[in-house]
Amino acid sequence: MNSVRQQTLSARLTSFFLGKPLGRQERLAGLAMTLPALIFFIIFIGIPIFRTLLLGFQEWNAIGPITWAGLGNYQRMVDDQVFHGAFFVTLLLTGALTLCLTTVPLLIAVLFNMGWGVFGTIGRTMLFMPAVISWVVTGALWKLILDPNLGSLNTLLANIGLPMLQRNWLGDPNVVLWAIGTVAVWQQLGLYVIIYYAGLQGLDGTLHEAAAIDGANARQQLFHVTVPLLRPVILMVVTLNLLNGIKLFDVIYVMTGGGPVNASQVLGTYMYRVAFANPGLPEFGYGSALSTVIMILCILAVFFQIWMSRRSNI
Amino acid sequence: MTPGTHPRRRKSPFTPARIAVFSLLLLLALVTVYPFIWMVLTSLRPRNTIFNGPFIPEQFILDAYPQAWQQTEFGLHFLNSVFIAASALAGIVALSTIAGYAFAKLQFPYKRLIYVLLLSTMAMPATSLVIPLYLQVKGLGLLNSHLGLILVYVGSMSPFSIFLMRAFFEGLPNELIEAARIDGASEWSIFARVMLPLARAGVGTVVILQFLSIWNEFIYANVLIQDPSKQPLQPVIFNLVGQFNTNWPSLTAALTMAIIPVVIVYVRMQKQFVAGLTQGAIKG
Amino acid sequence: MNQQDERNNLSRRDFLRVAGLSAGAAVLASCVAPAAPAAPGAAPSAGGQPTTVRFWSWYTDQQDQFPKVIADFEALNPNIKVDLQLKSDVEGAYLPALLAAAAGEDLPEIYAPHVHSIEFGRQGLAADLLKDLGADFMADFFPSANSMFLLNGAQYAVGWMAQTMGFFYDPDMFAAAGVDGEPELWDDMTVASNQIKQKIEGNLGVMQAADNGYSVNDLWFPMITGFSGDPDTVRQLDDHEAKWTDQPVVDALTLYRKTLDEGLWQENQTGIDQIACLNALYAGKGAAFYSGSWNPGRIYKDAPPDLVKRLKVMKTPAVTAGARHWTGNSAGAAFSVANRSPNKDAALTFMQYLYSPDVYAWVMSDSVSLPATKSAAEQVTDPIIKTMASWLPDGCRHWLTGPAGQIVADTIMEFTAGNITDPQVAAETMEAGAAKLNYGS
Repeated sequence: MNSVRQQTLSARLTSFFLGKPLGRQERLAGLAMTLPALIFFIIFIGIPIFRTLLLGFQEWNAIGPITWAGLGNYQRMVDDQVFHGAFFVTLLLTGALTLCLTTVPLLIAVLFNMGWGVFGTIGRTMLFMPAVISWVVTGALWKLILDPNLGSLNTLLANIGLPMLQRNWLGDPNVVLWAIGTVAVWQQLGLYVIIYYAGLQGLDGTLHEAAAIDGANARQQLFHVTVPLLRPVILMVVTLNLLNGIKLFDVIYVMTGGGPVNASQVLGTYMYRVAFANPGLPEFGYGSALSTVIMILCILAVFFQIWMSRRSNI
Repeated sequence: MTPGTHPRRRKSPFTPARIAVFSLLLLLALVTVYPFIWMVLTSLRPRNTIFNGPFIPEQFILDAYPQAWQQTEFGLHFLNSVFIAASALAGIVALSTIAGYAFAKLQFPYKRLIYVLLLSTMAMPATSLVIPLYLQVKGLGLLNSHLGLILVYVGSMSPFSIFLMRAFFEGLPNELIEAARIDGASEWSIFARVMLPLARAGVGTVVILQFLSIWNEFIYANVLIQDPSKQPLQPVIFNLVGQFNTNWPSLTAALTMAIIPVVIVYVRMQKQFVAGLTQGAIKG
Repeated sequence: MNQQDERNNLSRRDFLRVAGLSAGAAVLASCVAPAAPAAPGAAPSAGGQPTTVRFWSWYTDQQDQFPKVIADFEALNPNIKVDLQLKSDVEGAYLPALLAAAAGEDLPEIYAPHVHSIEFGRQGLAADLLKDLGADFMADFFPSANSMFLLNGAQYAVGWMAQTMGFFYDPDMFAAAGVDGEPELWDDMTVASNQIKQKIEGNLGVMQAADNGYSVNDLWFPMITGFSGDPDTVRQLDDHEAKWTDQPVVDALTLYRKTLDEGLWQENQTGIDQIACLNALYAGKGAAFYSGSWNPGRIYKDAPPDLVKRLKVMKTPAVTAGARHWTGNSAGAAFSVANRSPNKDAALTFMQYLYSPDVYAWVMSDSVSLPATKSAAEQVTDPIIKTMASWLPDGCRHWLTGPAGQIVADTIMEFTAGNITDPQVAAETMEAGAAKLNYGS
């Protein structure tokens, strides 16, 4: 009797959530299959994200009590020159890196796809090497290479007779963003080459053949056959690049910490400084507000991607 | 000689253009690995030739390695890293294959909402979650334990894996599911017996990408594990960087030791990695 | 889309699977919660289990000595276990861990408080060591090593390593450039540096690590004391009892501007950190490096042996002829004790052992560090440390613990980079920012 009542209750509940009996098992399975991931998300990411959003409206130095700040943290951004600079540099680097890391790896992947047998595999593995090492190692390594007085880059320039090109790569405000951008490209290029290469491998060769028969040259084939076919991959690469660019932190943090004098400060490093390395007291409220700005920019980037994929009708 | 053509189709002979492309790719690959070569050579140099010796040292010295090995207790932290990475990967693969399949192939209520929620993880920089995560893990009583860090990795890295697995499952044909349903198979057995075996390559991609992320993760490990003997490798390496930053041979030796495991794993698994991406990246 | 009648029955097995999976996830994630008192030292344990004292800092200077001290201590106190954690990178590794622990109200029993010592005390998280360890314990410290941790008579931290500042230099280079003796005034130093740059091709001359506000404060705060003649001036500024627009500050900024404009330092100094300076010194590319007494131990380990033999240190120049050679000194390296830890008593026991005269003097001399106590300073043997210890009577504050730390650091960096050139404007910027802050009590 009890079990009968339970059954009717569960039946009612399932009807409420899952609608008509038709396809019910699929719906239930779908919910059940995503539930574990959702639970993990809520506990380890959802609640911390919520706390961060909330902290954006509070003041807290982690040592003392939390007080409400209303919109104070966001008002502070209006006059904060360092924030303005960081915002600009973030957009600049994101744009430049996205442009570079969307187009160049595609060209390289096309060249690799010409078929080099085992040499191609070795080459792609070499290109991917920087992506497998941690940013701790990347930063330490490049700091040594770019050291203004002893670094191997400046030494190399002197040895090949180009001492006039020597720079304080990470210490000169006019050069630092170029240096950082180059290291970021070095670090990520291989990953995108491999993604594109995988995409090219999955393409049907007959279309290229048809185009070749129609007299299309290599360049025309690239733009009129390869690129349109790879559109979903390109879109994914663009999105990953935008998200990585907006969240950029580690490479800059280990190499310059945002310096010299904020010349390479981006939102990610500024957030870190405000929260953990403030010369005054830590400001987790302001830091959280900065994180919220980063999050909003990322969400905008994702909307951009959705809009693009709708437009290109995939 | 046409870009984008299938490699098997045309094994062209040596043409000037092919030689030019080959040289270009070779140069690119060499420039990319130059820092690593320099790093290894520096770690083998005698101390006094760091700044003015020839590029390839006249004499190789291995002293820096035993020193770095001892100072880091490399073996212990290496095993910690292996344990943490293996456990977290098991969790990530389980969660992301199941959920990725559901998002790709099943219709269920709130599907979109749940998916968007999960993906919001990718919009938050890790550094901004450090303190809230610390409080969360402490609240669960899991501070300073491997389990706490493992669960955090599973929670924070599953969403991207779900994203990848979803794309992968979407590339698999619906007909197989239909046929299995007609045979009376349940949704779970369709997933486990029919679809999952087909997704092996996709799992390979997830495993490699997330293994690299876990192995290289520093920020959470630094804060959530306090007991030095429980720490994985990255915080220890970071510590060494701070100590050795004016002792280049020791520093580069430690860096070299730190990257050898990941390079080996990648080189061994890179075929599956590309295969997984190839099958997953192109949908319809 | 797919509608097969067979699928309409919810099979029992499926239901169990759903339940099992979600329950499993929930168990994994939350049920472990109340179990496992994971944090070490969460509670003092009765009987068998020893009490744990977590001991955190970034002072890798003593990384070879700490384990021995701890082993000796644990042999004497079998009921106490000391867990050492050294994170060499302050901002990248140490502070996030410390602040997270503070946020979680689970501070390690003994910790290096960085510039937050006073705030820890004000919020009741740091013990008043004067009360807990007694006046006798404090008597041996140099006052300048402890004064910055005092608030309303409470001592929220005690110095670990004192820090005096000066120029580490290669005397051969000074001689080769025709500079004799140690420059008396800052102006003389500028002349000397330019002479070296001219005579020795490619030499950077005198170097300053100016990549962050702390390092620049090390340099120009002693100038403030130089002009005021009062070692208390910087403390007054820190507590905003004096103004940043006061004459000594403007004079110091003017003098610092002059050193920048007249080429005392290497080019691009805001882009060169301490490590780059040391590397340049080792490679013979720089003649001198302005920094503190925490360097010799590291230099002895890493520099070429012949440079180690030659290396000397000279005191900070005076601001005007005949004036005192004030030198930056505070124990930037210090230890606090967590006030609310249940294991506080054990922590105090370890502090007493750590600072007991024999142990402390041995640690300091064995690690070539500058001690913060008088008795240990007398036992120093290393010539460079000995010289730097002799400057302690001329010690003055070189960093801030108050809320104005940020505005001052940010402004002096803009000033160093040349984005602000007028000393008056810099002083006004600092004062405007500092006046808005809450100094509490």
